Amino acid sequence: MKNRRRKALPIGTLLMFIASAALLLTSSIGSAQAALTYFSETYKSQVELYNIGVTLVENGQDVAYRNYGNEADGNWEESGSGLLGNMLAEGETLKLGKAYPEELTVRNSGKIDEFVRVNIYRYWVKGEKEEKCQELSPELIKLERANEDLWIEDETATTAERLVLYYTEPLAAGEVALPFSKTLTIDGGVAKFVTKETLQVDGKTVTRTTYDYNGVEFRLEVEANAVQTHNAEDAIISAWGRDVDVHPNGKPLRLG
Amino acid sequence: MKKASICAALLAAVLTVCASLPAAWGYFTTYTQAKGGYPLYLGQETEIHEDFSDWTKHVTIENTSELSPVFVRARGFTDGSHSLTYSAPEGGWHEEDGWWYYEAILQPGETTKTLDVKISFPAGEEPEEGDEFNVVVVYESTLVLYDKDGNPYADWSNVLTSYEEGA
Repeated sequence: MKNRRRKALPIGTLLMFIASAALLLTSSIGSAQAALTYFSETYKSQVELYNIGVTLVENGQDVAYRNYGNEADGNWEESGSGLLGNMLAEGETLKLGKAYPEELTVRNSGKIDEFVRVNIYRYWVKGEKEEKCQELSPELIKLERANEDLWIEDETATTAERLVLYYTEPLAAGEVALPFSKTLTIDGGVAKFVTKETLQVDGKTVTRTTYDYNGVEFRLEVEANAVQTHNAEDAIISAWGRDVDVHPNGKPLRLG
Repeated sequence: MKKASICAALLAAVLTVCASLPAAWGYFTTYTQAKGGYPLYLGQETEIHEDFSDWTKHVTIENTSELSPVFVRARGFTDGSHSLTYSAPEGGWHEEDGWWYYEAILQPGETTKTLDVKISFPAGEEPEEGDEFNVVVVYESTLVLYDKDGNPYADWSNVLTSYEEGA
């Protein structure tokens, strides 16, 4: 009879086996937790976080928007019809000095809260190629501001042509900001920029005047930007390159 | 063996960090823009028309421009040997500060009503045939401007055209 002798497992091997089993078990639990967390975050991202959107509103009418698509498939819904389309009635000519209603604002057309700002450009163009007339003054295109306590100016970014305004309040989904402008006026001063020429015509003295602004076209251009309110300071400097302070009390957003 | 394990652990750590970076970098932003404008048509050409009869100049002014409506005003000058008397038989003119102002906006293509400028002589100094007189009618025009409510007005500090007619 064979004398069987059971060979005992070395204690080290046994400990390694137990440790492996424990590690496998805990790593499985970890994976399960991670998977749950992962799916949970993804679900939130797609339904709530990704749907940012902004709409530019002129005299109560939407004129341009860009919203992340509801399908969350990476597509954006966007459209624009242009500014000032209804400023003049058909056949009406522009009246120098008249203040035309131009109430501009921004609506949060996304599904998350956001901070917004607007970049306003005013300039003159001429010709079919719309070449900018650098020698003509943008300041004769007057956009009367509104709610200046809420729409604060970034003076470091201001030029004769550009004005950058930050809305100090976060906009909730669907909320419309108070307007940042009231009226638009082309200053009658454009008529003072003339070139005069005196001629003798049939014994008569004739002074002819040519207007420097004749034939040029004014442009008002507005770009509305929106950024998430979550981690807003970092988001704003990343997206817009501007230092801001976001405080829970008082004015939520201040320019740094 | 030990070295290989360390390398594998480092690789795993780098991959883990890299995998988490996009979440840290991504912020939700969007933008939209719109622009618009209108051309300016500034310019004017006016022309004076005169008829002379009964020692009276019958003056009308025409806006021959296709671009801009204007306001016009006129006055006469003489050498002092006689005086000038103004009248507007059809109305539409009024006097102020030595100038006669046409009250309506003169649209492109339109002509004013007549302004009569009569040469008056002192009693006993009636002109005789062949006498020469020098009467000049000067008129000025300016673009129509508007206040913020859209009410038209003239800025006579910014005269656009001065046209002198010898007589």
